[in-house]
Amino acid sequence: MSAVETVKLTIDGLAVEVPKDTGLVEAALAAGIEIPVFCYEPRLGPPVGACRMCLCQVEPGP
Amino acid sequence: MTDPIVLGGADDRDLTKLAEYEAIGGYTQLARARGMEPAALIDAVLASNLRGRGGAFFATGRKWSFIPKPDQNPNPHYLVVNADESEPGSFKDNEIMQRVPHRFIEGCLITAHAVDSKQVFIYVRGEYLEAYEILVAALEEVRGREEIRGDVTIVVHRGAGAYICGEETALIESLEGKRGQPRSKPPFPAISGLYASPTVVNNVETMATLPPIIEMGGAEYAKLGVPDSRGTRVVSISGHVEKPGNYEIENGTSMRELIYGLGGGIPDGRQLKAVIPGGSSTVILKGDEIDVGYDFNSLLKLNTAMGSAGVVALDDRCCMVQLGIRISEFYEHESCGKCTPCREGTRWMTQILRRLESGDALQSELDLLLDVCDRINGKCLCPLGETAAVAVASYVEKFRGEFIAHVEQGGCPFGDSSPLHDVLAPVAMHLHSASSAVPA
Repeated sequence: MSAVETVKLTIDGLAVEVPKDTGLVEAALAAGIEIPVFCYEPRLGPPVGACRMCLCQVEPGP
Repeated sequence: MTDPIVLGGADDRDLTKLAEYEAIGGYTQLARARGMEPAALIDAVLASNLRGRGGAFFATGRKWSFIPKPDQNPNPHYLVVNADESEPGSFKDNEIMQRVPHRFIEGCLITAHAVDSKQVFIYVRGEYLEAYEILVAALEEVRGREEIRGDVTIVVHRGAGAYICGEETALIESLEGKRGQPRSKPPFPAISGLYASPTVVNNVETMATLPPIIEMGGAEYAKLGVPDSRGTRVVSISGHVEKPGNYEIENGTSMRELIYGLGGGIPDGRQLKAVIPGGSSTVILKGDEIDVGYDFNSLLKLNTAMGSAGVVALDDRCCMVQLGIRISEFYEHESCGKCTPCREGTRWMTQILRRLESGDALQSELDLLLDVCDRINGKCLCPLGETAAVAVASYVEKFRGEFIAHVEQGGCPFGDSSPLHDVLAPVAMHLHSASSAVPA
């Protein structure tokens, strides 16, 4: 069994390591930070990204 | 001034007829393009430096090259042509479809060959009934000619009056029969577009530019215009000018020439106050900023863009707050409602602008307006709300004195005499159902 590929990121100063392709909302949750969401419901499918309640700043930006 | 390329020959002949178009060498470039390997065809278009004429100005050849090879994705490829021209101030695609429909169809077939597509969808704005009928008649002529048609099916789809369906992913949703709302990107249409298959979405003018590019050769076409903005552009000049209309210009022609030369200047000896350079969603230019080339880089230096090439001239009678209301009401009405910042923000922009116009606003509301604009910018799935915010914010920044005068005088210094009816249609004229206004 191969090890799961992970990525390291820093959220609000907290270092966190999560499996690759994890959503930001889940990654933040792993660091104990709750990003409020409204139109995202995992049981209903992939993120819609429309209500923008989860809007947060990512550095470095695109 | 170069000879027109896209609209070339349409003054002398009725190019809506297949026989007339063939008499000037029509559809020979299609045969030539079909004799080339798709990759070579894409290279020729890359060499021409053709960039999308819809507004985003993305390199056409590069867009095509994103289409995956059959071994990467077995799904069929689709070409979708965006003929849903709805930008206030822009009316070039209408004229192209009405006057050179066969050149447009030839461009579509060339593109279909380049991206290996057997299905072409042309999404025509619902209000463009005349263009639609001419296009369908032209396609009917082509239908009987197998050597032109090849194995490609062209489907013409009429929109139902939504501005948002000009956004490529909303257009694809609409084409699939769903509500026209933009998709979250990525994946981009080139990977997963129409029916989750690789899709190229191109503008009408881009298509109509292709036959001349094949004819001249990419390198020759790239000699026209200025760096980064090669070739010609059909520009819609409207507003307070003597001779409004569509003019095909070489990219880089000065804006002064567009307004005072081609447009014939401002009527009644009035002064030019401002110019909207590329359709309602672009940053406005003041009357003294028009000594600039009409091309991508020159306008970028002024933080604005060619957009969909709708040049709107405004004379000194125009009130910028009223213009702001007109733009903001349009985007408020046309916002699809999917993303909160755009749906709510455009509404708040309209409300603040109305308060300014009626003289009820406080000085602080000017900054509130800019704050609302900032909260829309870059926070939505598509640029609809963003463009409204950028445009209105530019009116405030460039004509701040006029906005402050509204606050200090407790009302509009121009009163009801601001002749915006010549400039952009009020939103009430957009309120209609396609089925009642346009015969189905």
